[in-house]
Amino acid sequence: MDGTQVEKKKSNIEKLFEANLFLVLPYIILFLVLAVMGLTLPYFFTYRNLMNILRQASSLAIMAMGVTIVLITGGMDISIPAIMAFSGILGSMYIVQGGSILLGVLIMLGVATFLGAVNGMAIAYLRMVPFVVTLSMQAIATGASVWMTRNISISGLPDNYVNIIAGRTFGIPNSIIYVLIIGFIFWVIMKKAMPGRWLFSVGTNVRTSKVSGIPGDAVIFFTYVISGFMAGVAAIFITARLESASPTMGEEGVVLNVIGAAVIGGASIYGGIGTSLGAIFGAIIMTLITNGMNMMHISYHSTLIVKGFVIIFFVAFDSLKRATKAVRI
Amino acid sequence: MNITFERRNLRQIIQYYGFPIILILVLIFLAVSTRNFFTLRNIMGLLHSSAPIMITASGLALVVMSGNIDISIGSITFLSSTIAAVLIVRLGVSPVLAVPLVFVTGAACGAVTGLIVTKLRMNPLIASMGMLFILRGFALRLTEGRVISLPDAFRNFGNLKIGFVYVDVIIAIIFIIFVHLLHTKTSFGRNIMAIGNDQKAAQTIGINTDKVLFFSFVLSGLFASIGGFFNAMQLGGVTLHMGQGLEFTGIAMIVVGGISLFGGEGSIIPGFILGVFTLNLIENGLNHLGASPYAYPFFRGGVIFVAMFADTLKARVRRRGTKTQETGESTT
Amino acid sequence: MNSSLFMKIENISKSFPGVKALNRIDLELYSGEALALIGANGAGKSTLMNIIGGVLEKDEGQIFIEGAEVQFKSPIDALRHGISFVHQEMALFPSMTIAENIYLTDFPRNSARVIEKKRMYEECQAILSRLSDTLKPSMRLGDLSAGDQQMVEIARALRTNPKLIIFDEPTSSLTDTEKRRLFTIIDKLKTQGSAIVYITHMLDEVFTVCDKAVVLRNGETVGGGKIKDLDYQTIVKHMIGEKQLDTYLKSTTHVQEEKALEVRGLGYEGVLSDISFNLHKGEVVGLWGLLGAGRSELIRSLVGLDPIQKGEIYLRIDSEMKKVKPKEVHKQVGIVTENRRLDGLLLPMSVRENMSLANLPSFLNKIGLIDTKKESKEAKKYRDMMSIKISSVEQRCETLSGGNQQKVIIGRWLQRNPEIFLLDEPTRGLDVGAKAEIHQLIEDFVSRGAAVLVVSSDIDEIMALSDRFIVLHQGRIVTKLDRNATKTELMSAATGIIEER
Repeated sequence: MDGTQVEKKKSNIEKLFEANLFLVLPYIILFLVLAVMGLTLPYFFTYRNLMNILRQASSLAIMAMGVTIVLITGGMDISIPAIMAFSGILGSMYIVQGGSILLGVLIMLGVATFLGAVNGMAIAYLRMVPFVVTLSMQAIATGASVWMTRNISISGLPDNYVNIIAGRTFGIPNSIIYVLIIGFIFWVIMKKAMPGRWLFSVGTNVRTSKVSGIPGDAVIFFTYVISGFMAGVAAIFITARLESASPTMGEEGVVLNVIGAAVIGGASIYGGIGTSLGAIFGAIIMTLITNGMNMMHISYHSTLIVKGFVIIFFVAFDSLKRATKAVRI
Repeated sequence: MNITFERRNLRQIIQYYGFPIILILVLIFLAVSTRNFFTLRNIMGLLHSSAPIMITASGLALVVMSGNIDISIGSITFLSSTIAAVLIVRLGVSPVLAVPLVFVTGAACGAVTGLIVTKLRMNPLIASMGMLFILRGFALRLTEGRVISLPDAFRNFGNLKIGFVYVDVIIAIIFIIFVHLLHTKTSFGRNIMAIGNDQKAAQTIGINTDKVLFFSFVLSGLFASIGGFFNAMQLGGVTLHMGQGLEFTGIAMIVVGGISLFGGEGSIIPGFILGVFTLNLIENGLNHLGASPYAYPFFRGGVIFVAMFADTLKARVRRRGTKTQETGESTT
Repeated sequence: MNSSLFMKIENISKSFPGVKALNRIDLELYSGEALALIGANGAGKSTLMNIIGGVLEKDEGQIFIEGAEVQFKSPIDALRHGISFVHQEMALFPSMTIAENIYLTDFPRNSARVIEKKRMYEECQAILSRLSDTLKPSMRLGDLSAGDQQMVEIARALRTNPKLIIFDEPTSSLTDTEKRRLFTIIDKLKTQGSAIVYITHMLDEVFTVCDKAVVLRNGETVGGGKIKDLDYQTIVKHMIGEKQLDTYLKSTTHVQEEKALEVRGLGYEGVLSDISFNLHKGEVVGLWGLLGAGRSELIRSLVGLDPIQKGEIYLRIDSEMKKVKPKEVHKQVGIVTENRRLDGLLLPMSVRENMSLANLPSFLNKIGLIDTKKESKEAKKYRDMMSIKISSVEQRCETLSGGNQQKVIIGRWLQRNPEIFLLDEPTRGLDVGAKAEIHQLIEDFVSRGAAVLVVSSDIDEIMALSDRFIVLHQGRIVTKLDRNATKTELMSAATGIIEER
C-alpha cells in the first residue's frame, strides 16, 4: 500500500549510518591497525614474513571462497572446517597405508563434496534451517574424525604428496599459485558466466529468479556442494602443509577465521554480495592479524576475542546499512 | 485472501506426530534390550548430570520461541563460572560476593547480545557467534590455560543428595517450572510467542518487540550462567573446554522437545522437559548397549537432524492450514 | 432504533506525492447504523478509513466525535475515542489461543502481574458469545477456519467496547454460512448501539446489512443515501461514472482461429476450482474479478509458481495442442507478476542484468561466458523500442520509476519472443502516459500473433484491451463475456451476480 504506511522511526544510530562514507570506515580502521602493527613490530612487513603469511593464508582463502558462495545466497555453512578435517583424515589414512596419492586426493575431494551435498539437500530441498543443518554436520563430521583417529594424528605423509602444496614452481610456492588459479576461475565464473549470474540473482531475490525461470533451489543446493568441495581442497592444502592429519585441523577457531575472512572480504551475511578476490583478501587480512597478534605475544585466547569483535564490527556496519536502506523504500 | 483451512489428512497427521512416536518406540526398545536402564539409580544419575544443561537450555528455549537464536550460551557458562572461580580461588574473595557475580556476568553478556540484535539490527546468529568467541577468549585468558579447582564445599554442594534425589535436580525442576510459568502466565512470555509467530503482526498491534527480545537475551544469558555454575560445582572446578558445544546440545534438546526453530511453537512443560529426557535417555541407552563414546556426536547429530526435519514438516502442515496470499494487492 | 450522530467528518482532504487521494469528503456516522463505503480500487476508501483510524494524518478538514473536535495522531488515539478497525489483513497469531490473541496487549492481571486466566476466559467468552456459539477462549487460533479467525479479529476489536467499528472487506475469505453469521453479528452490534462502517465491493452485501451508503470515486463522494432509496443500478452508475457508462469496444482485432493455450479443469483446493478456458493466437483475454477472486493465483498456477491438484494444460507445439506440465508452460510464456518489487525485479542490479535474466543462454559466447556487450545491445534495443527513460542500461533498477521498471520486466520477456503473455496488473502504479505505452505494446504483441491473458483491476483498461472476458469469483469462473459486455455486466459478474440481459 504505497503512501499509506506510517513512517518507521529511525533510531539515532541508524541515522548516523546513512552516509555511504561510513561503509569504508571499518576498512580504514583495519588498515590503521595493520599500519600500527607494521610500525611497532620489526619483522612484520619483511618479505619472509609476508611470504609465510601468504602460504598460511592459502588454505583459509580456499575455505573463505567456499563460504562466500554460500553467503551470497543468504545461507550459512559452519561445517566447512569439520568437513575439511574429516575428508583430510580419510584421504591421509589411505595414503599413509600405501594407497596412491591420486586416489587419496580424490577421496578427500569426493567425501567433502558428498558431505556438502548432504547439507545442500537438507537446506535447499528439505528447507531446513542452514545454521542448524551445518551445525549438525559439523558435530557429526568432527565426531567421526575423532572416532576414526582415536584422537591421534596421522603422520607420515609422503614427500610426493607434501610437495603438491609445499613445493615451488618458478620459485613461487605452489599453494599460492593454486589459490590464484582457483580464485581466477571463480572470479571468471561469478562475474561472467551464467552460473555466476544465477548465483547473484538467487542471492538478491530468489522469487524474482524463480519467476524468471532460474532453478532457485538447485542453485542453493550447489552452493553447499561447492563449499563442501572447497573444504576438500583445503584439506589437501592443510594436510600437505602439516604433513599430517588430525581432528584439531577443524577446531573451533578455524570457523572463526573462515567467517571472518569472508566478512572482511566484503561478503554480506544477508546475501547478494561477495567476490572471490574479496575472500582471498579477507583471508590474507585475517592471517595478518593473527600473525601480528602472535608477534605481539598476545595469547591465542585473546585473538579469539579480537576476531569476534572484528566480525561483529564488520557485520554491524552491514546491518545498519540495510536497516537504513529499508526505511527509505 | 485467506485460504479456507483444510482438515488435516492422515499424511499430515503422520508428519505432525511422527517424530514423538518414533522417539517413544526407540525408548521402549532401549528399555527392553538393556538391563540397568530403567532403574531408579540410573534415572537419578541421568537427571543429576543433565540438571545444569536443563537450566541453561530453558533460558535458550525462550529465545528460540521468539524466533531467534543464541549460540553464545556455552561461552557464557564458561566465562561466568571462571570469573567466580578466579575470584574465589586466586584472589580469595568471599563466595558470598563472588557467586552473585556469576549471575550478573551472565545477564550482562546476554544484554550485550540483545543490544546488538535489537539496536544494531544484526542477525542474531552472527551476533551470538561473535559473542561466542569473544567471551570464550576472555574466559580462556582468565584461566591462564589452567584448570581452576573450586573448594570442596562447592563440590559437595554440587553433588548433594536429599534421600535419593539430588539437590541440583530439585533446583533445576524449580527453574523449569519458573520458566514455564513465565512463558504461559505473563504477558512477557505471551509476547515472546506472539513475536515468534509473526514479528510484524506483533509490532502492528503495538508490542514493543525490541524490549521483549532484549529481555529474552538477558534471561538466556542469566540462565546460562546459573546452569554453568551448577556444572562447575558438579565437576568441582572450571576446565578449559567448559561449555564447548553446549549450544549444540541445548538446541538438540529444544528441537527434540518440539520447540520450533522457526519460532512461535512449543512449550516448556511438557515439551522441553521431554526433549531433555529423551536426548539423555537415548544417549544413556546407547551407553548401556555398549556404544563407543566416540559415536555420541553421531547420534546427537543424527537425532537433531531428524528432529529438525520433523520440525520443518510440521511447519509445512501449519502453513498449509492457514495460508495467506503473500502478494499484497492494494485495498484502496 | 435510537441513533444519534456519533461522528461527523467535514472537508477531509489528503494528498500523496502526485495524487490527490481524497478531496473534501463529508460524512456522517450514526450510532446503531451501518454505513456502506463503496468504491472501486483506488477510489479512496482505505485512505479515508486510515485517517479515521488514526493511521494517517489528514491534510485538511475536521473530525467531530459527539460534537467535539478531535485530532488523531496515532491508532491509539483513535482507539481511545472508541474507534476499532477490523483490517482485511489480520494480525493474528496461529499457535496461540483465541483468548490470548484477543488480550495480547491487555491481559487481565493480578497484583503479581500474572495473567488471570479465569477472568480472561470469562471476559473473553462474554465477547465471543456475542459473535458465535461455537468459539471458546481456549481454542487454538491456527485450527480455526478463516471465517472463525475473522470472528476472533472482530472480537479483538470489540474488546475495548468501541463506539465505531470499521470493517474492511470483511467477507473476502468467508463461506456463505460464515457471511450470514457476520451479518447477524453486525445487526446485533447495531442494536447494541455501535456505529458501523462497512467497506466493500460486494453490492449484494450492502443491500443486506447496511442502512446507508456512500459511494466514492477518485477521492470524492459521488453519491449515496439511504439504502431503501437506492438500487443496484444507481450505485453501479455512481461507481463507474455517468459519462463512462458507454461500453468501450476494442477497435481492432487480431484474433486468429488457432488456439495458443487450452486449460481444462484446473483446480487447487481452497484456491481455484474447475477453471477451463482457451486462449487464441492474436487474442487479448481480460481476466476480471475482485480482490481475492483468484486471478493472480490462476496466472501463477499456469506456470507452476503455485501448485495445482487437478487439471490439464495444453500448448500449441508444432501445430498441435499437446498436453504439458506447468514447468513447460513457464518456458514458453512471458509472465509479468503483480508486484514488481516483490518478485519482478532484482532491484539493486542493472537494467541490462534484469532484462537478460530469463534469456541468459542466448548471450553466451563461444567459450560459454556471457557476452555483456551483446547483453547491453539487446537491452538498449528494448530501451529504445519501449522508450525507457534511463541514462544508461547500467542504471540500477531501484532508481527507475514504476513505469520504467515495468517496461524493463516486459523487455525481459520480449527478449524471449514468447507466444503467450500473462500480464498481472501490468500498469499498476503507472501514469497515464506510461499506461498508454504499455497498452500499445500489448497491441503490438497480438498483432504479431501472440496471445495475451491480462489481469487488471481497472475496468476501463480491461475493457479497452480485451477481445473478451473471463470473470472469476472466489476461485471459480462465473461467466465468460464477449466484447459486447457492458460495464454493469462486468461489475455485477465480479460480485457474483449474473445480470440478466
